[in-house]
Amino acid sequence: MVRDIWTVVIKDLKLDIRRAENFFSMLFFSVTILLIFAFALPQKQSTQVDILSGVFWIVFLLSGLLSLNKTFQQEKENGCIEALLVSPVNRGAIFLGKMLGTVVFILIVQILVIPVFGILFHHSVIENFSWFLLMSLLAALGFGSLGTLLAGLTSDIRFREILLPLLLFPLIIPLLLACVRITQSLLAGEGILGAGDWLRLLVGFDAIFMIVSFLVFEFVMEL
Amino acid sequence: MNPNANPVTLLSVRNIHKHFGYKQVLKGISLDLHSGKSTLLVGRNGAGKSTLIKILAGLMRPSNGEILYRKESIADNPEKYRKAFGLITHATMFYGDLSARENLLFFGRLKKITDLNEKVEHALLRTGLSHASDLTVKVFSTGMSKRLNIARLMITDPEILFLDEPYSGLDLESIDLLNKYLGDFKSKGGTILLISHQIDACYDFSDKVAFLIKGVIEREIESGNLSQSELLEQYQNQTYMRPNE
Repeated sequence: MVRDIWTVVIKDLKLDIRRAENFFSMLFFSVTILLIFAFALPQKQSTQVDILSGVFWIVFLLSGLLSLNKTFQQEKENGCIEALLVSPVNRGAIFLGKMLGTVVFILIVQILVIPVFGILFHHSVIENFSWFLLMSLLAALGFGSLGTLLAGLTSDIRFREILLPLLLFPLIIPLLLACVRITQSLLAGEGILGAGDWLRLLVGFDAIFMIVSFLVFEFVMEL
Repeated sequence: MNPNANPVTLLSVRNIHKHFGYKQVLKGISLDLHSGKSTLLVGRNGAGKSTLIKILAGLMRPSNGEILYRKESIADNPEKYRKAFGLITHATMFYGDLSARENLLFFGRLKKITDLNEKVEHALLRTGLSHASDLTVKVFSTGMSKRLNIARLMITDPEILFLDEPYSGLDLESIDLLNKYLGDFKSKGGTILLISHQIDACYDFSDKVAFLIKGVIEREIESGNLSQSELLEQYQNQTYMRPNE
């Protein structure tokens, strides 16, 4: 199964490299939202950790949505999803491959967005770069698991670009809440362990949705 | 030994129903597919032919009924079953931003094909696509994409073929290539279920013709009992339908 997952991940990354416009549109979108917040928030408030951690993760969610939209769009073109689904591999492996492809894509964008966020708002972000990256990985795993499942579910629906966030955002609230609280702890200089309960919630969210999505993906794709 | 001397039932379709909401598309389809035999499925647009192929390929769940591959339910070991069949549909089913070779290698890896590189080169050569193997598939014509589909079937070497309008968009040379491949496939004991409106192109290697009418297989005829011209005439005039339809 690991080999099948790897095959799908490599294929997705190869497609992402060939379609660099996906990556650049996600990156520029993230930077644009950060700039809007930088201009919109009063200078005094913009230094407050409560607001900044919210801003960081809203940007993450909105730009992550772009990566989810493209993940099944390229499978639907020319009916590739059918060729993928008739392959003799566990469909859970297809799900994990597509999910991990999305996670890698999101992380690469985050590596570039985190310094921009630090420069615009809070220099301590750069000091905590590795923690922010770990947080982004954990958030991307949960977001990618639930998002890939829902993107697959809505891939045949006409208004999928609208329906996907409508389904995803309410379900992602626990993850968002945990990420915001952990980030507040990081920015306040308390370290990641200052929000240990939230960290456990985040890991639990990832584990639950990864397992559930792995198990139900087959049924979602075979309606 | 001739593999077709004693044909075995590779696939048994038992009482398949499919409904979308209140609309019943398939109403109790039962069909046996034997090794070394080819079945041509004909019917009007909307009769349920493509839905049946999707169900047989595991792309859609039937509302009711069972499919047996070598006497085992396909639900018991879906991966073993998926390794056994090949599929051609209306869509090309290739990634436009990958080259022809990359596409074949990707799908070959998923099918766990041994000696994959050699098989890919051989299939590209046989389908006349060696010169275009490094081009991205998005620049391929419809005919070239169909040839690439034949190349995929060659490397994956299935036992059963589900073909949904495989002749559409093919020039005469490509039709010959496909028919030669299908002839070889059958002679090695493979079984084919084919949907096509181009009856003249596929009649010669069809052993049985099944008429699908409003979600029901109304008639199954050995092709020896019905000449091509009779079939064409019935097909064009829809005289194979029941009088009250």
